[in-house]
Amino acid sequence: MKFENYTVKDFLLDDRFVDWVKQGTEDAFWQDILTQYPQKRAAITQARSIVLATTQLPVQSLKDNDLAAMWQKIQWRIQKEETQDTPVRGIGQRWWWAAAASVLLVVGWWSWQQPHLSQQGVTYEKLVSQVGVQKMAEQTNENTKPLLVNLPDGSSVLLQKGGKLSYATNEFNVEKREVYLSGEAFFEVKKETKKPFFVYANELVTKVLGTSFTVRAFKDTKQVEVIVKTGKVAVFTQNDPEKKYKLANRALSGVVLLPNQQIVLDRTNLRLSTPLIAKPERLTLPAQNLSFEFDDVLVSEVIDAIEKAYGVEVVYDAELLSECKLTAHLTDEPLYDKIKMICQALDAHYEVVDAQIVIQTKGCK
Amino acid sequence: MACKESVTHEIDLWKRFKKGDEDAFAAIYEQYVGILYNYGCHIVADTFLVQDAIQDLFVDLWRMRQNLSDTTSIKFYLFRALRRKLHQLVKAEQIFTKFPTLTPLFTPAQETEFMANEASAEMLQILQNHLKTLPPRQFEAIRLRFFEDFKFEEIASIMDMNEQSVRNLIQRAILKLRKLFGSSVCIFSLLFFL
Repeated sequence: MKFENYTVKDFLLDDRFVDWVKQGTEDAFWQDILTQYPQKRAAITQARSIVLATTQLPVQSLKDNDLAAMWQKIQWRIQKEETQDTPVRGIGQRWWWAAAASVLLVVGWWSWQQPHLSQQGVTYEKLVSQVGVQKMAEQTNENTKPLLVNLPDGSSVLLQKGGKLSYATNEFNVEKREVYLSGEAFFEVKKETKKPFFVYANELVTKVLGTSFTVRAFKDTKQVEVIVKTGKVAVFTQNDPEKKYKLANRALSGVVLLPNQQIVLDRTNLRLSTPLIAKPERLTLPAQNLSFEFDDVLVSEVIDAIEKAYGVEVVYDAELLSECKLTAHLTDEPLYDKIKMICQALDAHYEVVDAQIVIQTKGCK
Repeated sequence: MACKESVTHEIDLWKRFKKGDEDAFAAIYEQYVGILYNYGCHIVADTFLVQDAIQDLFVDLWRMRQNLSDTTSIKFYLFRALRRKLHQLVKAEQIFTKFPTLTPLFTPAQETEFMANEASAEMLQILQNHLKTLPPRQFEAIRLRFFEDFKFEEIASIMDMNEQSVRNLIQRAILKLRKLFGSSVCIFSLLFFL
């Protein structure tokens, strides 16, 4: 019989043996082998142990909410693909999506400088010149530190080095809120569902109702990026056939991004794609990464965090508030809303004096 | 019997899915997402990457459904596809395959003791610790064989290599694991006759 010369390895490579260990099939046959070849008992035991050890390896299981969230994302991507891709609903395989989905467009895109884009494509200068006769307010950040821009509606923008942001002073916040961006900025938009907020950045239009997100749109790079931190953001391109409708409408239509999602517009072919993995470490600003979740924390610490995140100076009587603790869950509110909430909790009020935020309080009881 | 039934069920499920039946698609997801995740986590330590790969896999699956061939084993099909996805992502991400915890703790003294009891819990624990320290491909092959119950031919296809190489891989893994039993084999076999 062949079993005479069987080693541990031979048993393990024998499918019938493995089936016996795992499912107990042909038990009589193998019991017989055990009595017939007692000298093989050790080898059989070892082989059994190896199979059993493998079958009992710890299992990594998915949490129910992860399972559901993944399914939701799958459906969301399929839906988006089908509606966005095929204007006339029906069958149609679009291959670019696959290409976009399997390629990581993250590393090194900074260096793909394409100077001709600034001539052919839509740029900040062109966008601003199209606004017409209105008076424009413009902020430019020439420093390395991010520049805080507070918009008339109470939204805050952290403009990165080299960034430019402008808006029409007499039209902003009348029916809608429109800003023009060149470079990179992190937006915290005040919730105001009746007046949608638009960011025009190169060929890409980002529309939000109240949320926080980052837009990267440089004059000479190949791509425009939007990364969402909280809330929902809709994006579409300047050449979108439904652009007029999307601009006029209050709802978020088109490609809708959810928190931690990112979209990339390729400026050469005006195609939108989502990189597979959002890169949280690429969010360079403290305000983008900080979660302002404070549970029973000293007021001074909360204010420190805000000062750091926004690069502002907050003046307050440290002695009066030295013992005060605060519980606050601040997320995507603009800076002044955050300050307002803190003041409410402290029964205080604030003023803005020469780029400083001055909090006046009588202390806490 | 039960086996045959499940095979026809699988074929049917796959056919319905290929025709665009969303319920069938959801059923496939529900049935396999757990084991795919578990498999993925054994190849790559990054659970988020595994989740991403699974999402990609299912999005692709739906998109390509009309061009897919018939299969008698959805599991095999999905495993192969997931492995490819993971490798693409790992390459793109340059994440090194690492297993989260390695605790190969054992002493020869303990070893002999364990040999007496067949497949004692402690011995299985030791074996499992060593399984995790095997070279990744050896571990993967042995896991696909004994944990997932794939045939050699299927493992070869999943791991993109020929059948003989899979056998060799598994043999090498077994050889390493066998060394754990070491010289105690004699003592061990004696025990049975005492």
